[in-house]
Amino acid sequence: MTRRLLVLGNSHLAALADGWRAQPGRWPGVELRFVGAHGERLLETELRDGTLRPASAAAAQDFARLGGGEGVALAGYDGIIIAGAMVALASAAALWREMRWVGLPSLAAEPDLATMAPALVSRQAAQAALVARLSARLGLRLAARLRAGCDLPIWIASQPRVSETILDRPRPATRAHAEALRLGDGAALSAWFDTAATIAARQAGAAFVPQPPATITRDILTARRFTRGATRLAARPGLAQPGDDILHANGAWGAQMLDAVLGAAG
Amino acid sequence: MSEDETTGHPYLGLPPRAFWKSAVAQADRDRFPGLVTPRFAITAQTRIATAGSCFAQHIARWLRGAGCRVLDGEPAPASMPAQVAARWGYGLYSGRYGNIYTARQLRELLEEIALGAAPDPRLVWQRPDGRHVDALRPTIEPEGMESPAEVLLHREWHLERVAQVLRRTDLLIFTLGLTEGWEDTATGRILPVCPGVGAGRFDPARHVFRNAGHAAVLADLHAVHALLQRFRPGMRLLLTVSPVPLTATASGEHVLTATAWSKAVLRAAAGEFVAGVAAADYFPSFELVTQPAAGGPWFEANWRSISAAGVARVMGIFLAAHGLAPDAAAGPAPADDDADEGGADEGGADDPVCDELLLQAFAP
Repeated sequence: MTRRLLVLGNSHLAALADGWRAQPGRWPGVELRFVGAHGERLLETELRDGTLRPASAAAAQDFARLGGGEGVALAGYDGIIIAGAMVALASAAALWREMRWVGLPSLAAEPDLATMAPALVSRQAAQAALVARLSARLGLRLAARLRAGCDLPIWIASQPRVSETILDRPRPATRAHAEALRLGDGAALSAWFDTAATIAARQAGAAFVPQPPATITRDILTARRFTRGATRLAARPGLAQPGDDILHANGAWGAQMLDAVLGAAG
Repeated sequence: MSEDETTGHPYLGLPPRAFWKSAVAQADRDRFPGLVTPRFAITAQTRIATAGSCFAQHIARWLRGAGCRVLDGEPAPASMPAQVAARWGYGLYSGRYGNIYTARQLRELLEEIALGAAPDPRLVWQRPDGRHVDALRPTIEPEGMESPAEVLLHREWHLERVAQVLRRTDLLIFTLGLTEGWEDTATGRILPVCPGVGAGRFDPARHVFRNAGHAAVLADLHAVHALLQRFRPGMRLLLTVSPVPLTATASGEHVLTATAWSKAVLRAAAGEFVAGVAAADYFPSFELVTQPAAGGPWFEANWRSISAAGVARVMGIFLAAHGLAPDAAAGPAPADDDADEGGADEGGADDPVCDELLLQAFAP
């Protein structure tokens, strides 16, 4: 029996779609429909009478061009996958820059807490802060909205960690990542994000699927072979991301992520 | 003896504020001109620290709303969502010390910082869920911490941050709330909440009820003032008395008379202290809420919480007296999400966070 899943996403949808197209026989018995929208336009929608419809001109344009047509009737699907949608380790990294908690290697190595710039917070406060931040992101808000209007299972596929290529640059594009690696907090940061995203997803009535370990390097980066050749979310597949892009992953990553999501979906 | 000498007396020539008729009965009781005559100015440049009972949270918020420099030694990380920061006790005062209800608590906190001693492990409580809290601010971490060591590390950090704030403070505004408290005789510290109420375990052999009298409060205020000078010479102290009644009393009295006794002691001690210390002042928030001539009632339906209108009136007069908001048009800085632990009748976005309200749960 064929399982039909609806895959919603922002620009990170392209990686999953590329992975799907590159290996059509890799997931027998599964049928996927990809529906994209740029930025946060997936929130410019309404779920009425079981159909997800665009509710703004911009969203309508994206739906028409990126797989959604005039709307998607959810009754035809066995589940929903939300791809990327800003559920990203970057949210954790931004918070980490401002706070430290017991258990972080960087805190243990801190010579003088009195002069430490980041705030000392409890682990619970840090986790609550990250859960709240993630809950305000596109993926979790969309999941909560869908959950309120349908009872299909919803999986949130992690946005890829930033590319390993940030290390090639004399000045790192994301200072938080470079700093976390320098201070030895990468593993803790990674676990913190995955835990908080799992909690936030559960609160939204969904399940979080972490980034596959095989695609991760140094805990908080995506290995360069999984970001090289990443494409854009566009009506015409294969349009390359700019050469200096560090945020998007390629079809090989998308295939690994689909393995993880479909594995979680049973 | 001349005619002037026989008919003259000290009441002749006193200003209108000295007479009930002109200062109250016939006065503009919305603004109460002459009621507040500050001994020293508070300007937008004055570096202010705040501490005290629940009502003091309003003072900090309104001062921030008026553009004053209310210091915060332990601000929430900028990216921490507001509702999380509120739940974890950030932004209530100039440090995350939670509510300081008594003069003795403030004195002991300042002594702890000034002495620089390591935090006392006997003041770490274990909650029923196995997690640990700082007995001197037991609700500041709503989910507790994993180990006593973590609690002690956080206390050390807290004390250091409060010390840093005090070294920069021009004016401490302290709101006296209670005279009743529980002493942990093992450490000699007055606790903000009775052990067993929320966290810790009550031990009648160790935890002793204290109800400070006038002399004790006055002595504590003098000690507080002296300690403040160690952090920053010339630091001024502005006292207020919280108009919020006691949630519960352990004195054996009716809670109404216990409240009257406590507030009378606090008011008298504050008055006597201010009379003798030029660098101190008193603001009559207590009178502005509780005096019948001040209008009102300024209480919510539970006759305990101060209404938003009451708070606005008190703070409007305070700010106007200092030229910070002459038309009382200023408002509080945006309130964080409601973190009150009281019942529905306590609710409201501007309600302060009150550990003492935990006692309400034990009312029959």
